[in-house]
Amino acid sequence: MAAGDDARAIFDRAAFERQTGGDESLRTEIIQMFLEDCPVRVGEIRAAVVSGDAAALVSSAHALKGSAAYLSASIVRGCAADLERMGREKDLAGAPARLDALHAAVADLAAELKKVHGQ
Amino acid sequence: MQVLVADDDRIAATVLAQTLRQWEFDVTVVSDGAEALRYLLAQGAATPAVPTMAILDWMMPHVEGAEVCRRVRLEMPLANMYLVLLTSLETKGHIIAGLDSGADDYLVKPFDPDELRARINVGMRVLSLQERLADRVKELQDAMANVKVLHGLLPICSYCKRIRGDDQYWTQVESYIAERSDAQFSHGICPPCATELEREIEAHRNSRSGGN
Repeated sequence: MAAGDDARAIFDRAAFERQTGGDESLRTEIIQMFLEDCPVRVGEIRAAVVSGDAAALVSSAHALKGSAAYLSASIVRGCAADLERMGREKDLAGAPARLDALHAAVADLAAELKKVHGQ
Repeated sequence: MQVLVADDDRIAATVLAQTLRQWEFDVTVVSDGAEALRYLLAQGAATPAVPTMAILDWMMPHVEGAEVCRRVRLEMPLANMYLVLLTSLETKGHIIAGLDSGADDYLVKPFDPDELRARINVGMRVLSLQERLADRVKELQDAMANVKVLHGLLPICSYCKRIRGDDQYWTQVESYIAERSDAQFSHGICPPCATELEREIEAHRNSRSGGN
């Protein structure tokens, strides 16, 4: 994967601009919401993985997957989708590793969003 | 047009609502399924003929989006409502279950703005068609009510042919029918009556000349 593809997988800015219909204030509002909500969502996912609560993992990972989709953040979305599937299948064996990947992806995404948001 | 947006994720709800407002829809946002159901049932009870569109998330607190669709269809089968499920659940099983629950359309998150616009246009076409059909049914029902009056048992005078109305007044047959239908009368004399009339006039003339 080329460097540009990597960056787009973390946060596809062009797709995000298309999604928000060229509305600058809407973009700012969505980024702010995501930066506020994301730590809460990740906290809920971590709690569900630690306690082995598959139902809670489904709902918390599903929520993050939805938000990440609107941010055009495909790595975060993919990690959340994997965790949601593990919850649905009630097989959390791979969940801690996926949670680590999610943490790293969320950190990358937050850094990208802060760059854009700061402009 | 009124559009209800129901989503417990504030990012999804905000992007969708703002997109719809850019397209000049009148948007109401709620954050759970119970609220969405209350809104739609109230809307349907107050103004059943007014077209309403709702875009519903599936996984929501209290009542899920598919259940909202099922209840709306069950409780208000004739309401003019176009229900769209917009969800991250993208398996074929979910799509089938969603449409079976009473949704008119199913979209996967995140929505593509051009596709959403096209699908909303389909919904508006269906709603407007349904509205026009409801208007035509109402017109036909009104017309049927009038026809029924004319088909009822009418008390008519055997001599002067006046008809007794519900108000107990005796009315000329022309007025009675004209008031209850689109029929209009032009007055003339039919040939048998004209012959009879001529005979009467002749007889009258003869009686007057015989008297002189």
